[in-house]
Amino acid sequence: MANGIVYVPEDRGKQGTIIGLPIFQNITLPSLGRTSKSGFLRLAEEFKLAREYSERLDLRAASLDQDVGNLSGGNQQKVVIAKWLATQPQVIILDEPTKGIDIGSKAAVHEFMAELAAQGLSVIMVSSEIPEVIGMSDRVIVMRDGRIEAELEGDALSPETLVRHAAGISATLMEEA
Amino acid sequence: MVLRHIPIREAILGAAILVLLGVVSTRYSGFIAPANLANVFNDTAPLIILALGQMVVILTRCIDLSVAANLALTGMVVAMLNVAMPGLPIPVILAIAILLGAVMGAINGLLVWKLAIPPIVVTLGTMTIYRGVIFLISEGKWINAHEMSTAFTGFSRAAFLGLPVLSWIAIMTVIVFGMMMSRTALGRSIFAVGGNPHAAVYTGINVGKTQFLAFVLSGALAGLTGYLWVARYAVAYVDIARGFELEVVAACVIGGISIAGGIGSVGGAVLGALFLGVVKNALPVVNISPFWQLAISGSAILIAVAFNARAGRSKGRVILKSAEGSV
Repeated sequence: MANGIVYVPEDRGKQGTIIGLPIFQNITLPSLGRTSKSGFLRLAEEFKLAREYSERLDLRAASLDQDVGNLSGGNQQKVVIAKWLATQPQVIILDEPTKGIDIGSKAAVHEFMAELAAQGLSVIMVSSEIPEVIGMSDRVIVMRDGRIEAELEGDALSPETLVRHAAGISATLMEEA
Repeated sequence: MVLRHIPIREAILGAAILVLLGVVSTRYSGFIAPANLANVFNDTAPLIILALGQMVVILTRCIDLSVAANLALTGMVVAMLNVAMPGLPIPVILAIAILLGAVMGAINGLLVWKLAIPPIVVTLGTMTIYRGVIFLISEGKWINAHEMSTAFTGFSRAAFLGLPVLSWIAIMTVIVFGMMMSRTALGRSIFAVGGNPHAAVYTGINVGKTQFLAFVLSGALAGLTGYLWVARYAVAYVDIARGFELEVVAACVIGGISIAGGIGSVGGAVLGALFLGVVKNALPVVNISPFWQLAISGSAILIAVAFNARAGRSKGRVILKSAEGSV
C-alpha cells in the first residue's frame, strides 16, 4: 500500500467489505489520512471522496450511509474497488473480480478496468475464466503450481495455448494427438 | 451508527429507563426529584466510565474481565500512596492511577496481541493475579477513612455547578469517548477490526495493535475509577468491586453492544449503565428485595441480547431478497 500497489481480494465478503459499517466508511477506510485534519476525521471530506468514487463506478445505493451489507454482490465489489481507487494507486491487482457477479455487472467491471488501464494505471487481473483473460489482457502470464509457466501476448493468445500451459501439456503431444 | 439520529436500539432502551422511572415515581414520587436523579447518576458514574472502556474492548472482539481487579489494585496502591505521602497533590494521584491502570491493561493487550491467547483466558488470569497482588501489598489490611487525607476523599465529592466531580468526570469521559469513536481514525479502526478483522487487515489496519490499544484504554479507565471508588467510599481493601466486571459487561450487553464485535455505540453503553443504575437505586425505594434486582438485571441482559440478535438476523434475509432487484 505504501508503494501505491493495492489488492482487491477474491472473497469480497470475507476480505473486502466490512459489513456493519456504512458504505462511505468502507470506501474511505484506507484513505483516512487524507480526509482528516490534525487527527480528527472530517465527515464532509469523507462523503465527498466516497461520492466521487461511487459515482465513477456507478454504484447503485439508496444512500452512502446505509450498511454495506444491504448491497448486492456486484455493488459490494464496486465498493471494494472504489475503496482502493480512492487511495490513488499506481498498480491495482484484481483477484477474480467478476466471480459470482451477473452478466451486466461483469461487463461494467470489464469496461471500467479498460478505462483504468487507459488512464495509465497498471492493472493486474487474476482470473480463471479464459474468455475474460483473453478479452481483457494485453499480456498474460500463465501460472501452474505457483510458478510462472509462460508469458504470452498478441497472436499467441488463444484458449488452447492458455489451457495447454496451465495444464502443463507440451505442444508436441497435442500435435501427435 | 454515526449519522442516524437516535438509532432505534438506544431509543427503546431510553424509553425503558423512562418507563422504569415512571413506575417507581408512582410508588415514591420523590425518586424523580432532580436532586435524587443527580444522586442516581453520581452513583452510576463508575459503572458508566468502566462500561465505556469495556465497550471499546468488546467492539474489537475481545473482553476484559480484569477491570474490577484493576480498579481494586489501583485503588489500593493510590490509597497506600496517600497514607505514606499525604501531601501528594491530587492531579499526581490521578495521573498515577491512570498510568497504573493503563499498564495493567497493556499487559492484557500484549498477551492478546503478541501471544494470541484468547482475551477471556488472559483477563481471567490477570483478574486473579491483580487481586492476589492487592493482598500481597496490603497484607490483607484495610485502609480506612481516617487514614486518608481530606483532599484525597474530598476531591470526588467536591460539588461543581450542582454535580459532584465524580459525575463530571463521567460526563467528560462520555464526551471524549464519543468524539474518539466517531471522529478519529482509531475509533474507525476499532469498528473495522470488530466488524471484519480479515478485511481490516487487507486495509492495512493492524488488528492486534488495535486490540492492544483497546485494552490499554479499558485499563486506564479502570485505574481512574480505582481512585474514584476508593476516594468516594473512603476505604480500600482486597475485595472492593468484587464481581463488578460482570455488571460492566452486562451494562454493555444491555446497551446493545454485540459480544461478537463491531456493533455498539457510546450512547448504548451509557444507557445500559444507567438502566442498571436506576434498577439498583429504585428497588430499595419501592421495597423490592435486592435479590429481585439480580433477577431483573439478568432478564434485561437476556431480553437485550434476544432483541439485538433478531434485528441482526433479519438484515441477512433482506440481502438475499434485494440482490435480484438492486443491481
